[in-house]
Amino acid sequence: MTPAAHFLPQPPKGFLRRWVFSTDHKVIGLQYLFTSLLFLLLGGSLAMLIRWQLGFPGHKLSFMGVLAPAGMPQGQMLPDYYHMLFTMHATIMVFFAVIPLLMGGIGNFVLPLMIGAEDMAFPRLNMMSYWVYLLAGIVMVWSFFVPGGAAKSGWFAYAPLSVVDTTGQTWWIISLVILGASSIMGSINFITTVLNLRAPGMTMFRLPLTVWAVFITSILLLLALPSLTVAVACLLMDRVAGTSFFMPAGLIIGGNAMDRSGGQPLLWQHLFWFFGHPEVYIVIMPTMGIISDLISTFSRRPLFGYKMMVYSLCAIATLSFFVWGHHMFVSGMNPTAGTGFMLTTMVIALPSAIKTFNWLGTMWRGSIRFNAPMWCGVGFVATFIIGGLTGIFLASTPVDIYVHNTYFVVGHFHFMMVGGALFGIFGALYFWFPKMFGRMMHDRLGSLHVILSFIFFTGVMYPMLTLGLVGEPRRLFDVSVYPALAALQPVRTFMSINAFLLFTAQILFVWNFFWSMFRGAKAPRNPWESNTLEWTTTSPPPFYNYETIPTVYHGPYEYSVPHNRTDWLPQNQKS
Amino acid sequence: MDFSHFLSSWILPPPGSTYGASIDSIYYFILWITGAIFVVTEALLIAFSIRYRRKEGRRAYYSHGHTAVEIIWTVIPAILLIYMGIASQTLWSQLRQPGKFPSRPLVIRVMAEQWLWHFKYAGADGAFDTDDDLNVQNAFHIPIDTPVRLELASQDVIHGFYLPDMRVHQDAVPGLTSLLWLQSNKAGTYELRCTQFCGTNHYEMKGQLTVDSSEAYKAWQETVKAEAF
Repeated sequence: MTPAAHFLPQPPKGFLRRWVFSTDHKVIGLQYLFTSLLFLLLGGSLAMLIRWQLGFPGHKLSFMGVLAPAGMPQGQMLPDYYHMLFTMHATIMVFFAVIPLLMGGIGNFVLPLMIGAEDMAFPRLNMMSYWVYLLAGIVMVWSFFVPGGAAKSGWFAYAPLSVVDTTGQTWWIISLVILGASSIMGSINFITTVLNLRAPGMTMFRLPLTVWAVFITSILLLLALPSLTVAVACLLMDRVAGTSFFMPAGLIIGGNAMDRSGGQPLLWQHLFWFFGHPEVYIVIMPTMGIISDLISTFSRRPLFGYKMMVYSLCAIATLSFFVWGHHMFVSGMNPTAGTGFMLTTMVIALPSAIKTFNWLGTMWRGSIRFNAPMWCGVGFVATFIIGGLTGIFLASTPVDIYVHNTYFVVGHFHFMMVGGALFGIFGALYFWFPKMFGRMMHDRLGSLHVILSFIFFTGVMYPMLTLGLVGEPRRLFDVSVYPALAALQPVRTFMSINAFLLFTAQILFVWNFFWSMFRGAKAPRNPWESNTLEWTTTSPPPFYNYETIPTVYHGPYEYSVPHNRTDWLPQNQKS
Repeated sequence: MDFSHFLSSWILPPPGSTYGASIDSIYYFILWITGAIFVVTEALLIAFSIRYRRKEGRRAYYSHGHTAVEIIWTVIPAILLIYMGIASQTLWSQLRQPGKFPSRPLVIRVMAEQWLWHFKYAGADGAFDTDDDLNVQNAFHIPIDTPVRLELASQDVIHGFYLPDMRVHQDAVPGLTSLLWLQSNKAGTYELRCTQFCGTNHYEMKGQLTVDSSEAYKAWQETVKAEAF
């Protein structure tokens, strides 16, 4: 043994260095986690206000009259306040809640542990990416308080509307530029860490799917996000410097002739969706990885078709850069381009289908333990199937003509984003909570939370699909001008009640989370009898994770190996 | 409340245009395929969850996959997806490639603004930008069984021109003229909904299409002319 092996680094002494300005990936992971959970709460609260207006149009919410007197005078919602709500709900959920939770929070905490590393490759860069993310978040929250309120041109901010929106839109842009910087720092760090810091014996094809997914997602982020940054920078110039990237000649907006020429509104859409479609895979891919690990662990079976799972992640990642035009089938884009984008979109459905079948194949002939994480796994697959299949309707250009920009689309992506990403997040938190805090969450309460969430979630999202099929456009403040749609008001009320119940059910999670953090049963090293490396160290792991760097002998899914004494075989144990 | 909506609305409202039925048939084809996959996969998920739940003394089956099975469940969806793509493509090019539009259509210029629809007809001389052009707002008429070509544009922000009953949907983009065609075979009045968020009163940006018999259409044109002078 070399003298270096006896040297175990100690954590910094001061509170600030240890818990606030920490370079420890575990602390940074938790910082990301708590910050993004707060944003999840904020985004969810905005959704509740949206559902209030849709379910009970015209009814007052008196406390909002105090909180937001300009947007909801005496508690009565104005159209532009509603427009701000859906814009900021999506912006906060996508950029500040779901991705930071999955990548910054869970990815940061578990990835170095799962590959047997002491930390991320660039610990200080990691710290910086968190603080830059926080700054972006503060700017985004600040935008609620500027004159005219936060951005209200939709989360995809189509120009020219976003060019003439109030000041909040400028802050929205500034925040996203800052966030882009944070995201690039994070992605570079993940990519470098996976490529360079794997423990001895941890070949690429012995990596758990969670690591693969975070790795590939980082590549996507690195390649896709600059397109958004460029687009919003141009938008900022159009707003404040009088340029016309997206402003054509001869515009008359609100009675004012705009002195611009030469721009093209579709350019914004191309730039935005070139980022925006990889973006939706950025949201779903980490959860695909996490769910693969959960289903294998709790089914006590090797992951069905491991290599195929890796290849299909790679295929999705590659193809995701060639499908953006399916957001633009009816935008005025050349119809020949529509043909190409339809075909690539049809093709990208295939790796997702393969993944679904492989998850089912993993459960087949398993010995399934229904703990809270597994309920999330089943909930994920159930909703992912619906999200995926409804995507095929949208891929077909003629059918998209009918359902484009209707609630069918809203339902489709909520099945992916909430059903998919959120069940993945909850699954990950129930699963890794013992490793994060050294205590167990209450399992039955957790299962109840997941099951209730699934029921209420379906109650909100399924009717969106059917409302879309009767041609209800999304983003309508009030449908009463369309009698055929107004007649379906009971459906909207039913959805809103489910949304409120869904929100309320999260109290179970919050309570369980904080109660268990202090009062939960002490967690052993490996409570789930899982194979991956993070379960071979203590719960929570020591500073620098491992007393000695583990050596890896086989893949992560060696469950129920015949003639083995136990039905699991950790990666650092020879068979 | 009436829960029948949750199932019945997978049946689309009856189409009012000649190509509406073709769009619907692709929709129903996809609905059958995806519906079958939905039922099978969700049923397997439930069945496996029950059948293979943990039991004392039973050990899970050790296997890393099955190549033949994986090839089957890759190839079959691939064939279905390609077929759906090809079926969609044939119709898409009929609908959207201007070279394939019906000849000698009635041309209507549509100009969107916050939060109105303007429609311009060429009038008796068949030429636009002449004195006899007919202009109407929000409510427009077309004759039944006649190909109509719409030239769609916007003067401010992007709007969404959506006639759900006609299966017509296209954004009106400033600085760009988008071409559409439509031939209705069902007289009646239909809603025109704006589907692209376009600012404060977006939700009130409603128009109306009336499909007239050719006599009623002529009579309507006379009324518009009379009102203009």
